[in-house]
Amino acid sequence: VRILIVEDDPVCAEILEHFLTELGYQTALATNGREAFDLLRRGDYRIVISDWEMPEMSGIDLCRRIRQRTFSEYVYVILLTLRGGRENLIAGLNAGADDFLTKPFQPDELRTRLRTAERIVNLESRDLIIFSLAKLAESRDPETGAHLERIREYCRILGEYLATQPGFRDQIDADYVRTLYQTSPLHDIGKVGIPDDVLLKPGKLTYEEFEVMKQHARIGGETLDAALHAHPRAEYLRLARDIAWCHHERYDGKGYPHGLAGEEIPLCARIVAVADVYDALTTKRVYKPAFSHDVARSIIIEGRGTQFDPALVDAFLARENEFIEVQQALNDELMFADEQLPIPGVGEQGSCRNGAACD
Amino acid sequence: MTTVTEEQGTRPFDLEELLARCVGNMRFAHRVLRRFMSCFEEDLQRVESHLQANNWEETFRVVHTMRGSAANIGARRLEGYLASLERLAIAREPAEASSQLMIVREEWGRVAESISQLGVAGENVPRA
Repeated sequence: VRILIVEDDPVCAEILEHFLTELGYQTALATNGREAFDLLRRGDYRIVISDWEMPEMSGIDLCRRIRQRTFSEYVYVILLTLRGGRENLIAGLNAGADDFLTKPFQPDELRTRLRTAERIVNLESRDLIIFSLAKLAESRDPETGAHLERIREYCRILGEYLATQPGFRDQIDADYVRTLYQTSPLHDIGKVGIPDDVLLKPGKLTYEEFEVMKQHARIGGETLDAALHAHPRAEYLRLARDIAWCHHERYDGKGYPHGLAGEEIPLCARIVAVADVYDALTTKRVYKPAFSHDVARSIIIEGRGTQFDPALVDAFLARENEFIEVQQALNDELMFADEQLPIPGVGEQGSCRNGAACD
Repeated sequence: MTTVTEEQGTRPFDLEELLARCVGNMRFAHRVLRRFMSCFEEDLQRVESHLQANNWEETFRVVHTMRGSAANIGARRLEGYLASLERLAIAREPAEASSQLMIVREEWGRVAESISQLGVAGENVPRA
């Protein structure tokens, strides 16, 4: 995150610039509001720390100008001023500042306030990025209709249940479930790298074609891993990467791409594995009819401890009524009755592409 | 007329407070103090001229900037004296403002001496 400092006092500016640089931020300096506004229009600054009293254009006028104009991304403004008191605080916030600090800044306080600022600007970026990626994933997903919506609902149900269980309480909280809900539709994002003749093949895949198809886990994982390296603080990218990379791993270590076993497989991917297979089983594909919940249930129970994490199968069984409700509410047969289903292929050895024994 | 409180202490400036803002970097703290020394002296002369010209807006603006600098280096008593001068500028009280400026000058002398004892001398640093 790049921070724009707006300060006419060279002593304050120098201290602030040094402090922020030490915290790892990139900074730029403007000495009044007008100069700052020009920089904001030309540069890429998500956070502004501005003094109030300045020549030409004050910090308060700068706030108003920023809020009058729609920037491509939200600009978070912290007023850092000698003006204390409730009246000034209200005036500053009314003008459009997001936060208000009095001079001289206290290092710990400023550090904490900046973390809040970052969290807020990152939330906006996160929603945009996830939405864009999900649309991209959808465009290359041979399954239709509400597949992605059902997957995330199933993941939410499993996540919410696990959050109440002793073995998972420390790993899963409301934020985890929310992020899982948002990122689970990216599980097959790697399919953007699979050639059409394999991805859209109207029939059973050959062994070689299936090997190509399996690459989608690696492609998706590596792509999101690169994004995570560029933005290591973006925890949602870690979750998205783990899901894309590992949702075809099996609990017994016989899955792909890495052959991870048990808890080596990230929890989020173990959750998505159950959700994805349940959805594949209970919806119609050109290579299979839609199985009933009871059939899907037996297949998932059969995979307990081999294909699936036993705790996840237990979670599924504990909340199976909710699965049925989602399956019925987001039923493609009913929702997209007039639409022709595109033609997905069939995986090797009588299994569907999600790894469950479908045939 | 001052508003300096007991808590603002007896030390002309608080090196530890400044160092915390400088992330413990003593060399950088010295650089800040050098800049402060140079700027403050210049600003005092400006305030004097503005006061003589009854230019209250500029008096307020410069004093306000000086106050911010003083606060940042931990010169709390000096900051308090400047806050009083700021209020006098808003109230446009020429006689009291001149008296307060004398008080600021005296305190500035103490702060400058204290900074000099650290081996820091003012430098010619262009103002932003």
